[in-house]
Amino acid sequence: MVRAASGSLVEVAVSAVPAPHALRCLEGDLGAWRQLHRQYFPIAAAFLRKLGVDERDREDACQEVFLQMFRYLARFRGEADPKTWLYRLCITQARRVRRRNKLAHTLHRVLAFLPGESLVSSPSFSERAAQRRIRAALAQLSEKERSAFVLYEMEGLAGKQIAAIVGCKEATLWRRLHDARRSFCRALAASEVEP
Amino acid sequence: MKGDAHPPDPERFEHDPALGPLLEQANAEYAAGLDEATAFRRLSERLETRAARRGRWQRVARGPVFALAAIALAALAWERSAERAQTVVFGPELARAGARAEASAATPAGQGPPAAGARGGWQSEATDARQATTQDEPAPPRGARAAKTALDSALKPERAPRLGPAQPAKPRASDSLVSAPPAPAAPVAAAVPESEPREDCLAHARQGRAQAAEHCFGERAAGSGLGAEMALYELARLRRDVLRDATGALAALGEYRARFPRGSLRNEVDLSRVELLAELGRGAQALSESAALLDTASGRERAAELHVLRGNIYRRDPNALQAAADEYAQAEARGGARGAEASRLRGDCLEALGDIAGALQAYRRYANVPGQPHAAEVSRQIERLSAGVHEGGSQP
Repeated sequence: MVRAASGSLVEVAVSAVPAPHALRCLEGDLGAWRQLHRQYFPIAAAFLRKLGVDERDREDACQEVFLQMFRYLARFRGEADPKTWLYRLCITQARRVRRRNKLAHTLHRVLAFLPGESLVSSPSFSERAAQRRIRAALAQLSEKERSAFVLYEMEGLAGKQIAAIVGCKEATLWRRLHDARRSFCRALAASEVEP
Repeated sequence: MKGDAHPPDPERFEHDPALGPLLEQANAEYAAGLDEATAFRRLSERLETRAARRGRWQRVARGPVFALAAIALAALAWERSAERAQTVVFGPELARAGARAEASAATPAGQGPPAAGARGGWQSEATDARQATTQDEPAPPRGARAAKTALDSALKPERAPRLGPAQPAKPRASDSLVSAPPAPAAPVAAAVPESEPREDCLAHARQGRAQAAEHCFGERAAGSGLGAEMALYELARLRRDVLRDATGALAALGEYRARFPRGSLRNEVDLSRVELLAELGRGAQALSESAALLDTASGRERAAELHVLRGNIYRRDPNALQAAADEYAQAEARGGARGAEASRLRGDCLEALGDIAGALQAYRRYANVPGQPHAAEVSRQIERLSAGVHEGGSQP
């Protein structure tokens, strides 16, 4: 992974896209933004899915992430990899979506509009067995554990980088990851036992 | 830990023989079916809308903002003058209030401080109360309390409405795309019989009581809102997967489309409908509906599945094997586990068409993806084709 050197705004994007494109991005060139979007959209969308953002929420959440990115690119100091920044934006957005859904769900339950359980198992996108198992196991993790697990085991980031993204000490991250891995394996084993 | 010695990161699950392929496969699935072009188009539209709205707001708001600021300044100045007038009735300044009251009583009616007349309402009454009190002779503290009570009572009735109950937040326009279902209107919520416990339809299904589950979902589907949407969708799934009643499932999905044309499960319903049409042998209809679905943004997100489905339909006709192979190729291009499966199916088609080199390439692509369910079978096919053992070129 390319790590951006600290420095000017141009250097921010140099680590990810060619310099002319970076300049054009900052000048508001739609084509340059398109290139930036093309590069980071698959990462952001897949990461949001892994964080448990439902497919119906994903489009909104992804848009919000890129709106934030577009709005604050000029303020991005370039001391970190833009991807690190993107991951952080995604985590924040996923948290917002989760809170909003929780509130909506609570309201509906209070109004006795929904039963206590979810009727639809998971109609979001693919229903392949392997992915269902992973998704079910990930659902057992807490928000922080899930972020740590996905970033380490599925996105392949280094511990130091993850600690910077989630904003904790490395020691805390390893503890979280340890707990997450244990819960994940337990949930996966349970899903094997179930018919 | 000493000095700068940094322990290595723990070994990742990707090196685990069981978990590694599973995570890799899930990663591929998570990355599949993303339509970047549509996402960017929608994002651009949103940015343009925001920019236009901001520009319009700036143009429209400039004048009123200045006017409001001027009004606010004038109101502040009047407020301060009114405060100066009101302080006479409280506390140790009461003695001085008497003198001022006399002065104010001496002024002709209607020439009071302009703020009192201008604001009217409770403030006029408050001023009256204040004036009534201050017109009394040097009042003892009791008079001050009476004035304060009169002032409070004059304030209360008008202030109360300002502190009304908080209105529930309205959902944002973008919430239509969000999983959170729309907030139910009060009459709908009231219509739900709250005293009766809800029947657990899924529990019936889990315990093997399919007919009871069908009846339960049917009853719930007769209601309205998200609960009815979900019940209709579950009813269709139950009929398709458990009761093996594809026609009934199709009817439930048709009812969903008719009742909830913009429902939150519409994408799933459309896809399930295409699958059912194919299952019922209505290939032409399935092909036309899947083609229409592929033209939509939500359909493109499921393009890999749809192309595999279309390939399967074409493949039933021995004369349409090339069309099937083309559909599988499009699914293959989407990647992911569905893409890998499409490689294998395309290999079958190409082999049947006599294109052994193409079939070998497709099989090898499938074999290179770890954790595939037909890996052993495909390896045998690769060996057989590589060894040049062709048996008439037709191995569907």
